[in-house]
Amino acid sequence: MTARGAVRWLVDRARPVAAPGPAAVGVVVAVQLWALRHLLRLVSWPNDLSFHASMVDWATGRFRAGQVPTDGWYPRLSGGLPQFHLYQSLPHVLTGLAGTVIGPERATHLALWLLVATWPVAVYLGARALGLSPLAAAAAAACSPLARSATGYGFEPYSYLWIGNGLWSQAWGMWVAPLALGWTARAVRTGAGCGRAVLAVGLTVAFHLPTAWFVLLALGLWLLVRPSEWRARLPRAAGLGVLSVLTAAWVLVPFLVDRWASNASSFNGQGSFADSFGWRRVGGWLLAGDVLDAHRIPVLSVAALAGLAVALATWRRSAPGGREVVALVGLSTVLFVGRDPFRLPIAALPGSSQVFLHRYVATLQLGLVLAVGLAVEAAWRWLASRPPEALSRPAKGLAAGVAVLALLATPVRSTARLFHEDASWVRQQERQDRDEGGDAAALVAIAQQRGGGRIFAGKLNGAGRDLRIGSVPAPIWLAHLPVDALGFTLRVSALAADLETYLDERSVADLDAFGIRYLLVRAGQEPPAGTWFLAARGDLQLWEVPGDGLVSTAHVLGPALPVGRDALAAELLPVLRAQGGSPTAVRLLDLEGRSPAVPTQRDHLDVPPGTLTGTRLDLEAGRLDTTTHFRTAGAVVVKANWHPRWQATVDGKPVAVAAVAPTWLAVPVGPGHHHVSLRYRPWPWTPPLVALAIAAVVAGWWWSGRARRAGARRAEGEVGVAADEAPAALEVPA
Amino acid sequence: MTDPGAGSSARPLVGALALLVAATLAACGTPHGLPSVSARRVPASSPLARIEVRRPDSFATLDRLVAPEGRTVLVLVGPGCTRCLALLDRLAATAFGRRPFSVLVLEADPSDGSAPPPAVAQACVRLGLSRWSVPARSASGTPARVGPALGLAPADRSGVAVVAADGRRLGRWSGAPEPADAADIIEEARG
Repeated sequence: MTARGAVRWLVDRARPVAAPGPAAVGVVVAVQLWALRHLLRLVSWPNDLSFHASMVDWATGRFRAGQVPTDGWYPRLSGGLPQFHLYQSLPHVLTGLAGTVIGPERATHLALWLLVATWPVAVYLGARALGLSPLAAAAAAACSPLARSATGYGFEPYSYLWIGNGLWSQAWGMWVAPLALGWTARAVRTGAGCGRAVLAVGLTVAFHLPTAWFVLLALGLWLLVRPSEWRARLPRAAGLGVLSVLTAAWVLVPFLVDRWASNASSFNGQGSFADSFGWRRVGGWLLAGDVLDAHRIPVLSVAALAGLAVALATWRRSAPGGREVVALVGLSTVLFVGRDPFRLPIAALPGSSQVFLHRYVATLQLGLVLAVGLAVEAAWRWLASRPPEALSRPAKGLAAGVAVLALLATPVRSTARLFHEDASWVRQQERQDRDEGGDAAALVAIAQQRGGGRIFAGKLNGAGRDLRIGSVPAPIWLAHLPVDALGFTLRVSALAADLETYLDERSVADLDAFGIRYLLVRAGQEPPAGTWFLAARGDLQLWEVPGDGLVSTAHVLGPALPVGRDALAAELLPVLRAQGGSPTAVRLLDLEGRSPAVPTQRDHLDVPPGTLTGTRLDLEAGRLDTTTHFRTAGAVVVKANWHPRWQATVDGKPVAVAAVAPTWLAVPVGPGHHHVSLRYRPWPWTPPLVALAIAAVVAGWWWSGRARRAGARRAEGEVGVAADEAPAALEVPA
Repeated sequence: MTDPGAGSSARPLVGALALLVAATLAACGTPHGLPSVSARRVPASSPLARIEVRRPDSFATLDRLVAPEGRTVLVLVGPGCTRCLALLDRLAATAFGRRPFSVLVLEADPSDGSAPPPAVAQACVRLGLSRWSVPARSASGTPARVGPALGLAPADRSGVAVVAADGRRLGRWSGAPEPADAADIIEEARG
């Protein structure tokens, strides 16, 4: 094909969709794809993206091992946990699958780039489904990548950038949220498109639970915005809710069933993450425009305010989408303001105790961006309605152009500067990854080759904050490698997660108690007493910690110590310190009154009860095999977090796996020679629950078809339906 | 479709776009990964592999502890080795410096009756040195066996050996080391 032919081919295809709205969105997306291309660079990131990349890498590894990673033992952080069924892990599974073709790290970055750059498409489609006109939807979509909040956790570029927060999972939730909101609103309004609405809600749950919680709450909003229509809307909203929950069951059920065996972090119970910032701070941000326009002139915020004013002014005339946008902004504001002063109403919302309210700056931004669209549309209508004698056609065009420039110039310049700064940091980190990162990787490879324990480069709330590979703290940098490490604290709900934050980095007993065998330190930084030097590369050194590593034998001490998942650190830190590094006796735990009791020992506690030979430990695959010789009864102790889905056999016979202090698992073994086998058994009900999800989506489609046929018979003639169901001209209320 | 030939011409364009994306992805750097390293290990046939050592919290054989790169100084500390303290001071002052090397302090099991002075244990804690005892009940636990494994005379209860990553002995100093030996030991340890 010649260049001329290619252009002609593109023009031919573009003609049918060359409506101004989609065309504008297309231009914005193209600009975004170009401006954000540095997100494709494979550098280490200093934020949560590295944790997500680690999950994707694990998922790819499981696919390559012939497993489907909807569940499995993820050992890489905080002593391990079945992360994929305690977390919104569908993005990681899908990306992990792509990773089998292009590599997991490339797939992670490619997904981020596409999701962030093409988000305006989702905003446009969602806005249209909510009932906004093509102009309003296109304006909202064009403004959507320009948001910038004071917190940096919203649906805004900063949340996803290298210099930002790396909220990779939220990027997936951000993409489907406008679709889920728009399609559910339309389904409740008209009964049409229930299947796609259910699918979008189900995907939102599987992609990002905090966003999904808001989407599910919004089902109630679609009732409240038109109370007079409750007879028609209530059954639709209820039906959608039921089908959505069924669609999400494959994510929610294993999470709820096994949640008792995970850490309820004491750090999450209160503070601005859990309770949000309160009316004083959020009110200040709203007044200053810092929800959409932090660090710049608040032009988008003023436009959003105008849009909300227009929607409220035309409330009785029921401008399409207007009420929905006001409702979205209202609910998001309440949630983002948080428990001061909205403690009671928020407590009344089901599931509210499980969410971080500060995250609802994201849905607030989405609502405000949609309000900008309403303002643009209102301004255009006003301009278009001026008589020719008052304003000539060229003058109207000029005025519209000036208005658009005035609206967008500041946020575009600010966003471009942000992207440029981000790209600059990425380039710099790329160089440092090659140099210092190469040294660190070589040392980690030596540690991996020696085996026998975890690697540690300090913890994020300690020395690890200052040991950096380029600009990335070393504990975060380690997450880019397929290794079992500690120090990247409080990323997962592993049982040892809170305890890890109290680890004494200078104590070899503490390091050994956590199964740490290798230390990465900066040259000249004195390692803990009792460690010894192994190797050096550049300015980095590798030191070894004495200890038994990850697997040892020990006696089990009774009686079982009752511990709750919400106070693990407080209750177990003294026990950990009393036991020491590789103890010969460990205390039996009774986690939440549900972990099993096993035989305990009283005698000869000062010497290990047995020895291990031929140990084969593969925590990535969730398996251990070892041959033991026990002089007296005792247990094989593995320094991996206990979980009820660990199953063990001794000489082929099933035995209970005990939880022992601090949070590790122990397989009781009697005297003599034995073969001990330990396996993590994944949650078994995913396939039937996925089938249920598919059935729920199909039921939604069937329901819509029935409603459509009934609607055709009644010819209800509702105006304001979405554009793909009616010409745009019909959307304007009479 | 306005152009009957467009369908056939679309395929090369799509292919070209796919190629462009693939090339972009390929040009975006190298994924993180662990390089292949050939860290040396002490062979199982080495005498060091037959020396069992333990701490209060762990158990190993000596070959397992030797550093995979650089050199390891093994200091065997016997009873009455008061001069060992000065040596340990000198070693600790340099082993944790900018050109580090590995130092392991070995001592006989207290039950053997040939334990080093308590000051050695205190010094190791103070200096941050890794201290291991050779269990008397183990096959290797008699001093007469430990010394020869380090290249020392069977009668030596104290001494120093510098070994390479593959377990080869590079230098040895029998008996309680003279303070003047420290400089030589450090020089040998740094290679």
